[in-house]
Amino acid sequence: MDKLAREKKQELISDVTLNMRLKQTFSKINYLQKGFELYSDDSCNSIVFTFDNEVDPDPDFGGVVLGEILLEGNSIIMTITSLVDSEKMRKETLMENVSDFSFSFFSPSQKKWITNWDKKETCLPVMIKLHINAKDYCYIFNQENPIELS
Amino acid sequence: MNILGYVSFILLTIGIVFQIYFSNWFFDEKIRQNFEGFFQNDSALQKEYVEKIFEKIPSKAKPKSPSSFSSAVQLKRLSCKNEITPYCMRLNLYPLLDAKEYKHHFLYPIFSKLITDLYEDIFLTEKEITLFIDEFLKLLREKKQLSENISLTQVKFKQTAFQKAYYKMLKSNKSLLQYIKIKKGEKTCLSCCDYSLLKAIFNAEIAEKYVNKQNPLERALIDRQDLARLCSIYRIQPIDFSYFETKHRKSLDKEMTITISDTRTGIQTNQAFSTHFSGQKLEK
Repeated sequence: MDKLAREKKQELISDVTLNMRLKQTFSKINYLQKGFELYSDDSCNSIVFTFDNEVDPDPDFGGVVLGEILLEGNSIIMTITSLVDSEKMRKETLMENVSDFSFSFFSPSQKKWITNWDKKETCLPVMIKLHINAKDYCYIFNQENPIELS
Repeated sequence: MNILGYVSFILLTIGIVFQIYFSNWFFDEKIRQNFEGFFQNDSALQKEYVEKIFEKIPSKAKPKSPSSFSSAVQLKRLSCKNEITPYCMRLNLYPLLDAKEYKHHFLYPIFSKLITDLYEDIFLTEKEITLFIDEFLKLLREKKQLSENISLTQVKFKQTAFQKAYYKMLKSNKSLLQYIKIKKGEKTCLSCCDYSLLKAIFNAEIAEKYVNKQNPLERALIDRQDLARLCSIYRIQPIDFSYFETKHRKSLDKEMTITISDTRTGIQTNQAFSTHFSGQKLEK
């Protein structure tokens, strides 16, 4: 029972950490940023986007950087590439022991979930849904102003 | 052999072992319940939020070309430039990058005073601060030659000590990013400034007088002549008021509402906010 509780606790901590990191990252995506990019690769295995990493001890990683979320082995990782020096890259493990990973975007024009977001799109999707280990994680993109709830 | 003692010993051992396991299990179970409860609530809230957003999306969309979507939002964004934002209060260092003899520019001692007041714990001596500022302005000038859009988070010092100090300044509670901006032609709105910046521009007495006027409308009533008079009374170095605004261009309404409509999806967003300056709420 002790072991089970510890495993459950670990699983929840991993869930919360992933959730917090992705919430923070996706909220920093702004389509008015210089050199804005957001797309999924052709085989729908990864999401590529630019986001504001704000202040970082290494100034090459400060401000707008290029991020990519993908499944590598059985871990979901996020790579961060500096736009100042493209040879500089960081890898961050978001979650381990992942057996199933997919994502979809909610298109504001088609009003439905689509699995591929084209590079040519000039706007942001309303939200993104990540399907990880039979769980859905949904994040809303920061549109110009938040949508007011009644 | 005393059978009673033996049985008592066995029972006592079993009791202790059971107690240890039970308390461990109980503790873990409590933690598990807490985590699970937190996570379930978080998911439920997020789900509810997403559902509400779904409801807000109108069934009949008015499709527009992608270019019109971006330009409409950009146009709206440009028109929002006149709104009161934390950006208005920042000290614009652009003139310092343009000036040939920047050390004689009136903004130089203001910036130096601001750094000294806010981050005196980061630097040891005044000389260090001067060296840091000179190096900082030199790097910004180099960046400006490459592009007019200068990112303050990407300034790279050659000296590790300065880089560490700069990182601390950006990450501090009073982040430098809240106090400075680099934008051609932008002014600093004095009616939005907080105490630290006013103190650096003028002095502690004037800053207090200004900040004590909690109502921004009252603040806006202090015009350039008043400030110039105060500067001469306190014998403060001459300030070029063309770099500052004493009144905000937009009328200081008590509450403002912005409506942004996305021409592509038809989603209309209303955001109401009250004017809020340096932690001081507008008097009603």
